[in-house]
Amino acid sequence: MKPSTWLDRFAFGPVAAVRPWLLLKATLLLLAVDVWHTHLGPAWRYGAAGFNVAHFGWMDGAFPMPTREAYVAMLVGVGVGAIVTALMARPPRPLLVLVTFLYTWGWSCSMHDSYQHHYLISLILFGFCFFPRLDSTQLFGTVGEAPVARPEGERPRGKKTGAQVAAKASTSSVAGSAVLAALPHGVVPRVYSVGYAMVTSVVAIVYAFTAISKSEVEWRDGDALRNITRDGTVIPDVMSLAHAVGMSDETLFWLMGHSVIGVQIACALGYLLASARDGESTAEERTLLRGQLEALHADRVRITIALVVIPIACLVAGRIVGVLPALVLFVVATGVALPRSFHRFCFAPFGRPGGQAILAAIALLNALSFHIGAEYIGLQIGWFSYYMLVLALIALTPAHWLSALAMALTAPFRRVRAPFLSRWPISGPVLGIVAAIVAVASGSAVDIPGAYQCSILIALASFAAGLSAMVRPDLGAERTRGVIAALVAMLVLYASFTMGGERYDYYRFAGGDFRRRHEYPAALEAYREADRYAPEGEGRAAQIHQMEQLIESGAP
Amino acid sequence: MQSMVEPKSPVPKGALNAPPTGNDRLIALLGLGVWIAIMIAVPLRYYTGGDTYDERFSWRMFSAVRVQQCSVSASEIVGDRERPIALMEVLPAPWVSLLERNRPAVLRRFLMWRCASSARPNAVRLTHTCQDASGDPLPPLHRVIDCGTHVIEETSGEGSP
Repeated sequence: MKPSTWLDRFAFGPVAAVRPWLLLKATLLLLAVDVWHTHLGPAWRYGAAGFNVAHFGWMDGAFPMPTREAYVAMLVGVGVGAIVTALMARPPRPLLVLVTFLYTWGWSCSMHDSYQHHYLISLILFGFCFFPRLDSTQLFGTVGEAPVARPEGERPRGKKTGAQVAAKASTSSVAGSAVLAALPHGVVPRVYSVGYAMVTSVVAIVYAFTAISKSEVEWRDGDALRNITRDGTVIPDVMSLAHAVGMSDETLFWLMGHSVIGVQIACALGYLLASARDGESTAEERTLLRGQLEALHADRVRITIALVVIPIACLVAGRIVGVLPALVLFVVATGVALPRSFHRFCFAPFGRPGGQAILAAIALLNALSFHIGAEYIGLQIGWFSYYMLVLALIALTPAHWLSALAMALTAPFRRVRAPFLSRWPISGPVLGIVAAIVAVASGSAVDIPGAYQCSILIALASFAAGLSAMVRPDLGAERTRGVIAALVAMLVLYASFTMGGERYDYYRFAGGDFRRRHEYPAALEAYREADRYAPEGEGRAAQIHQMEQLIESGAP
Repeated sequence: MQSMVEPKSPVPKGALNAPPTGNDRLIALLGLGVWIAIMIAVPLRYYTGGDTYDERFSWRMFSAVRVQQCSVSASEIVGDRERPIALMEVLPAPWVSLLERNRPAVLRRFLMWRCASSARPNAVRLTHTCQDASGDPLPPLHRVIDCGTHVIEETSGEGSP
């Protein structure tokens, strides 16, 4: 094989289109909730005491010192922008660039935010900017269209088993063709994307360098792990298991310290080859997978029972008969209920055969175990594990699983979107006005400095987008969808800011900081705000009283 | 006449777009090459540089350096007297944590910032005492800035410069 062919495969794929499509949407939705959930509480510290150190020296001169208001405005802008980008069918690339820029400014403006994964998210967002703009209808067609005639040469050939499955399924499921109608590019359409290779290669590099850092003596000997797990007290189950099999603490930590290196290397290799593993779509694959998907669709009731009804029933049963019997019941009942078509589809040959698929499976298992393990240990790393789990599940699982899932989830949107939005020409402006009102109301109601100012900008953008939907009928449906997404985003923002404890954290931490630095009037104001949003039993009355006394006494 | 525009490659069956060809392919490959080179060079800088405690961008999450337990004390010389600085009273707690973690840029900025404070000190001193991952004490680190020249002197070991 020519070197250029290898290089092209690594750089451009093709990869299953569902991977970049789903990765972008899932990551952005996660990002929106993450920034609102984990970044708001500490936002008070930006600009406090007039001291700041940016991550890059030139930023201290190029930008004004970040303030808590500017930081909160960034959080609102990034979250809303991320949700709008994720929910729009074909989001405008400048919006993604804006989200990337704002988010990157958010962590780089101050060393307050020294989480390395925030830097990684910026790199991933930058890679997203080079993703092809994909719409679910491009991937899977519009539901309800007449089935596209299967072209010549698409007949099954080669392996007989696949051909037989396809033929049987095709004849048995006429109803399935209503949902699977078009599939213009097969079950797993491909896309050539250098952006995807940018993302997977940077993740591979992250794992590779993590392996290097974990190969230092403190990690190999287990001292670092012992320190992180506080001598194993935060992982009692693992310690008990090790003791039960006669393993000493020293051996366990040594083993864990060494195994982490192997885990990182496996993940690095999996991601390194991730962009090259799917390969080109072949006629045989398209015929085989379509047949299997139709068979799957014919068995959808049994599959729904197995994957939805039985787990729920077992969860309920678990409360009555205990965990172990419920688990046995779940395994047996699901095994019986799942039809053969499900197993056939799951284990259908897909992508480049051999080593790459095995490596991807090994990398997936390692990534899942490592990041679930990190959460089990309780490392204070924000939502890093969730991002990496999403990445692993999308980049390393067989693409036909993802495609089938995405196809099912997007079916309602692929059926109704265009007719619904094009029915009323004034729906865009009307929705724009509604979104603008909701944006201003939400921004005002959350009562955090900076949120209101940003919400006014979002309101203006929503109104302008709604208005332009009427002026530009060719873009009307897409812009109206963007306005609806902004509306949804502001409602999520309101719920996120007001239902959790972040707003309380914001004000009480600010109060504590002012108090320590003897700025009592500012502390009093912050504590009063915190008291308004305090959970039951955590009111700040004592602190308010203390501040009032200090102010009265004229304390320095 | 032969067309000057290179024909676009056809979209392969089962794909949504065509692979880049000609100049597009070359630019994309070069871009990806530069991207990967930067992504490797930036963390590599840690291993070739001298700042042990500046682990940013080097993917050394929970490294042996990160799990060190450190504390910091600060003092300043005003006139002839050396007096302690209550860090938590002059800086927000997160900055004090970063000072404890020995972040070089934060240390430098703090020393300069304190020199410019209303106390007008002649010199400001920071002393770090750390324990490694296994709990063994490491030699203390001292940093002193001369507020007149803004030169920072860094020493390690018992005693102070």
